[in-house]
Amino acid sequence: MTITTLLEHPDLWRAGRPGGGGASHRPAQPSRYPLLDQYLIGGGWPVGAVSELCFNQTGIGELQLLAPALATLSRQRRWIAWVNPPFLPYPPALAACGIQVGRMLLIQGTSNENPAVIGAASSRDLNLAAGSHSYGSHAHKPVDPRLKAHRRMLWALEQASRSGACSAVLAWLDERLITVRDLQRLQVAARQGNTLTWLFRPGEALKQPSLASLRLQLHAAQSPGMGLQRLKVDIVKRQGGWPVDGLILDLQRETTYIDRHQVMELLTFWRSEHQSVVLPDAAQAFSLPTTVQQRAMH
Amino acid sequence: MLWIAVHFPWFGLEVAARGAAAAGRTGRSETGYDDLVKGPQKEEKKKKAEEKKKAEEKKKAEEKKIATGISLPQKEDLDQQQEQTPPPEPQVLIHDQQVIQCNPVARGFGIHPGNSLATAQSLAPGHLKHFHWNGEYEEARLAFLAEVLYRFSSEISPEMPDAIVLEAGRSLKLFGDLGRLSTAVTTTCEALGHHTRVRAAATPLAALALARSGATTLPEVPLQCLATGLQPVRASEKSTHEKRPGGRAPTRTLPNKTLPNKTIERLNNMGLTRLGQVLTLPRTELAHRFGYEFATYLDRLGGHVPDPRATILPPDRFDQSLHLLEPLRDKATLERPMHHLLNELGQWLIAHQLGAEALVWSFSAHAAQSRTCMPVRFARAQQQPRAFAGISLLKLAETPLPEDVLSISLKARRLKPWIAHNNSLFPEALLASASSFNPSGESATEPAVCIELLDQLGARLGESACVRLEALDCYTPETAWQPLSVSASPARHAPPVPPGRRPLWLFTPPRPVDEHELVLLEGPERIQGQWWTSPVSRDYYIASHRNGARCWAFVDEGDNGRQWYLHGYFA
Repeated sequence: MTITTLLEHPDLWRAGRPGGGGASHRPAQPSRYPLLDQYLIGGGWPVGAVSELCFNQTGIGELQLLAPALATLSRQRRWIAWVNPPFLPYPPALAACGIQVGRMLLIQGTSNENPAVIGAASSRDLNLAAGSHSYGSHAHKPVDPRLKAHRRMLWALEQASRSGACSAVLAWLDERLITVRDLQRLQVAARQGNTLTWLFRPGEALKQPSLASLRLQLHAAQSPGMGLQRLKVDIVKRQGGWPVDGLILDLQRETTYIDRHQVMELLTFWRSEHQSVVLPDAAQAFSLPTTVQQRAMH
Repeated sequence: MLWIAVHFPWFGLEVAARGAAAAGRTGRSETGYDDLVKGPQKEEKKKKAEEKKKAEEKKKAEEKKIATGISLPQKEDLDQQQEQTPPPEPQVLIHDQQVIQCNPVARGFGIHPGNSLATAQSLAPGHLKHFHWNGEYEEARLAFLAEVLYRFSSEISPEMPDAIVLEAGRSLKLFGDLGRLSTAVTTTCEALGHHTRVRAAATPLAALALARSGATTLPEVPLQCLATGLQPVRASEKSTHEKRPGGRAPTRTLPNKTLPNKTIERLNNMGLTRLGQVLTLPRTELAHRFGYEFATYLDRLGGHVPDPRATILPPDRFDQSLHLLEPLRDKATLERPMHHLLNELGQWLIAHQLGAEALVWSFSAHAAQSRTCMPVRFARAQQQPRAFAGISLLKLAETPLPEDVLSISLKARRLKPWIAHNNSLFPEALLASASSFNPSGESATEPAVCIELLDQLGARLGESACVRLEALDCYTPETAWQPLSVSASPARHAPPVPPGRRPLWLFTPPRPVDEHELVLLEGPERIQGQWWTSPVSRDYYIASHRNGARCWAFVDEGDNGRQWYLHGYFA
């Protein structure tokens, strides 16, 4: 065994190297933000681990940060689970980011403090479910409904991560009830299911220790122009590396959408010209819809 | 033609004690008596039994040919095993305050069929367990067992009160040999909690006679066994102990094709107690003295006259219930009876080569007055009891039940032809296939783990807590999407492209906001539509909120003046 092979050992951490050393074998899902990928260990979001995103204000671009990765992941035949999201992940916007909406699985919490999500159809059922807990001798001693809802979501999150049926899980938990033990379980579950788990937490959560492989703090950054949105990312913790502060990411909001749109137009035109020709792989990658084609021909 | 008769020596008791056995109240488990003996001991006993068996096999091979020309192939003899592991608790089946069946332990206490309950209780003071005879349950149970055994033969008929006859000749090739077939029959019945004695012969009547008597050759069969389905022990008790008034409940009215008691009594009075003695007598004279019926019976026994049976046709639905002896108040204790029923369902599904997509449990207290139905759905048809159990128990935890549960019933719904699929050997292989790119976004089969996850989430959180999303080609933001049930087939068309920028978080409904908190960045985008229901006419702006969020806001020129609303975040 030479010194070189020793130095390449995955467990050896080297401060001098970006990413800490021979940790490149760890599976990672590129975030497709070059600046961020450069600093994330393995070149992307750690797969089979929990990543925490801590920020205080919703709507600063936290989903756009994940969107490119989600777009890639949604092409797997596995689910992308949204556990207890605060608002509705809007399908047309997801689709515009190139995410396959059919792979999204929305798991809704029952707690009333999490308003919004789905319309009347589900809230009726939720009320029924809430009512049914209270009676019957088979029901055990009364549990705080908030705690109960938290446990259900935690259970759902763990199942989704552990089962291996989800390529990614995005979760919002009740921050007041979350414990270190819960986080520990989630980390194990993510490893078992080879799932990328993103946990969305408020900024205060950074004061508590966590077992997550990656912890990011997000701030809205001063926008350079009217339409552009910028996000400041601090890597508070990354497994196998020092913290990094102040990464400014331009959220390339339109690029994905315009690219996709233009490519579709081109393909449609091309296809109408060559009806009998089988599409090349690249064209299939954009899953050219028949509807668009029809629309274009009219 | 080769017939196998399956006789259940303690059928009445087993059926009556079934509820108790399932609930574990009498310390009895699903598989019955044997389970009480610890594993290793049981193994030892099995070994011993096997050694004995081997020694006896040589003997039996010589006895194959018997006087009447009925060939008796090798048999599996399980009696030794049964008798070596009796249950530790005396149990009797009573009807009309009279013992009609007792287990070996009870017999050890000196209890015999025909004793009164009071006598039995004084013989085994304290710990005698008694059950009441219920003919209906027995009949239903026998029919069910016949259905389960349908997998071994297409020609199968239940023989009241305690035996099943099946034609095995045509199944031999499939199952290898008779030994293997009868072992399979025994194992199946034992899994359902019934002890069996399996015998084979060339005619159904001969097989029945052998099975009921437990004899190895036909001439040894005591004549009493031909009359009733009762055990020879009980019959011999009858002659030595007090005489039971004839025609009472224990000797229930039996279908034809058995001998009337009177004939047997007459034969006994003549000194003929074994079948062999009768078979050596000239047939014509016997017919002359004992009547046409007796002669026909002997002819059928010997296979000289055809003996058609009413074969069963298994029904195409599963509906079983379990009546518990004591009310259950705790969900945890319900688990065992539920497993019991699921086990039976599993057997039934295998026999029918079906899978069930939905189960309906119902739990009821006293005589169905408060009844709780618990439907359990599966994303894909299942066959294994284990798969059913996990989801059912999850659902049970979320379902309120009546105070006392006295009976549990299980129905299988949405039955689908069972197509067995291969699981991959390595989970990695599954993941690799899962991650392979699928251009159309649709898949021939969802990976099994995905289906399982949906089932689990649906059972614990409710069917509606878990939805998938679909984008619709609609102009107004509220209607441009819809939740889909997870079982719905995914959309085949590609999602529509929205005309403008849309936020990733949508507020349902929009939230009013103060105009001064917003800095407008882009816009407006006029969205109009739905004039046929509620006309929408809004100017949408992309704005920066004072708190730093990028939001989607619109102004509504309503009757109450201008009002700004937030409709989403560009998160």
